[in-house]
Amino acid sequence: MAPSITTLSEQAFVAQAAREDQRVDGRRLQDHRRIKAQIGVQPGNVEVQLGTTRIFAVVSASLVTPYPEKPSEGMVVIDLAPSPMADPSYEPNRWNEDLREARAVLQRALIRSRAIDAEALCVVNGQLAWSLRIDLKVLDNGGNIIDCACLAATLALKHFRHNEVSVEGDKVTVHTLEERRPVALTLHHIPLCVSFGLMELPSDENKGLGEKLVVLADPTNVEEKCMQGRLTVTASGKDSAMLYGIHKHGGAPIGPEVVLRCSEQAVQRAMELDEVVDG
Amino acid sequence: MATRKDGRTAEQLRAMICELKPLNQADGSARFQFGSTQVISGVFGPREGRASNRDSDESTITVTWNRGARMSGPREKEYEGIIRKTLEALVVRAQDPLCVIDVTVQEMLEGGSSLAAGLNAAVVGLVEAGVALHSLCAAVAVALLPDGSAALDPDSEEEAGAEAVVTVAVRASDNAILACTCDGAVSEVRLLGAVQAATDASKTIFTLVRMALEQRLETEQRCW
Repeated sequence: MAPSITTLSEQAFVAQAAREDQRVDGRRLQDHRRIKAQIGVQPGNVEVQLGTTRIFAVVSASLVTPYPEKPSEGMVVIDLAPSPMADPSYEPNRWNEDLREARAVLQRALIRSRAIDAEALCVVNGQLAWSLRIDLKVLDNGGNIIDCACLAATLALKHFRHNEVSVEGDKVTVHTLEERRPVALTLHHIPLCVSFGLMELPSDENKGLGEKLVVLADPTNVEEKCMQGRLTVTASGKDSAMLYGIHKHGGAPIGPEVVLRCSEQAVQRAMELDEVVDG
Repeated sequence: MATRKDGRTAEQLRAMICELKPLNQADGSARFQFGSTQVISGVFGPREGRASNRDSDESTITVTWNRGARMSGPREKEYEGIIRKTLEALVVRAQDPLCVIDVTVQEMLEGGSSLAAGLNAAVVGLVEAGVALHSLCAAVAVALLPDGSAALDPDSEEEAGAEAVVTVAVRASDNAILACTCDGAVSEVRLLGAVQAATDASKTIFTLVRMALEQRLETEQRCW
């Protein structure tokens, strides 16, 4: 499988456009692509499209014994797997560095931020709890997998229902879907990731151009191959004062004013996305 | 013959959808739906293969089958093998030696007849990718129920309650059988009946696929 290659002319084109505050697909620097979300017939099945990026999320739950050190909590696991159809460089069963990083960001956004009420997942203290599994499959890599995956995961969690369980003394009954209406999850907040691409344009004395840092919101896969860093801010639409994560793993160095500006844009974007999540 | 739970007759297929090029990155892709069963396929190729995976005379086909939530197991490996061998009989392999054609099938909704849907999606995906094929191929599943009847294109409930489930892949050019798998115990007479029913039903699928491909050609021509 050939690794994806970007030609020098492609890179130069993207850089030149960025210098003029323009983007290859005609968007402005701060514009995001269109979102299309499809809620599946089975609760917890969601397909989300961000531009051409397409991610499929499935939430499933099973009853397990809770960890001994956390007897009153359930568990949540996120898996972000590439499908070989998503990108010419993806191989089945092969470790993918970018997706590993994306998965870490999602874990912090959804699990470590305590978005899902883990104690509500507990059925019998120390004995029985729900273990949630969020499986995300990348079907089409058009860039910015993190944002798309986060939206898919939150929509799937919002629409997921698990069987109702009733406890009477020592007896635990798992009701079927026909007996009792299935139960929704308790979500404290809806975290949404907003990613920005960082392009560091070098100075060019011949053309009299100085150094410039360009921030692109919602980068496409072509822009991702030409950029020098990424900043992801996790915000919630409802609570604009709180940020649930900031991720910048290496890449182009930026000043604090860039982080502030991006955080404000992220909160703005999260409020827009909130309407998609609620609707 | 009594009607089935969803109102269909024994020979009736569920409403089918064949969508071309749902994906952007893949060379070819297709979405195939039998009622509540939905499968997406993505095809990359022909492209350069790894040294271990190359054949100097013909192209090599690899198939990956992915389920929605669960991990891959023996069922997936079996489906991969069946689809690969069927596609090997279908693709003009001598045209691209030393190349690899990677086919990935993703189950989106599981509602019975998954293997048939997956095979159909894979074939249409190959056509969309521009891979040369000897002929089109369509697959249908038949459930042989305990009451003696045969139900075409069974849903999950019918599959679970069947004595045997037969999946047949039929070639368009001469109605030859490219693949036939039978899950369960069944008499010879019933098996032959099921194969015949599947062959007859495949004609409907060919019509649908041709319509979808012609529509796509029309849109492509209009763009130019």
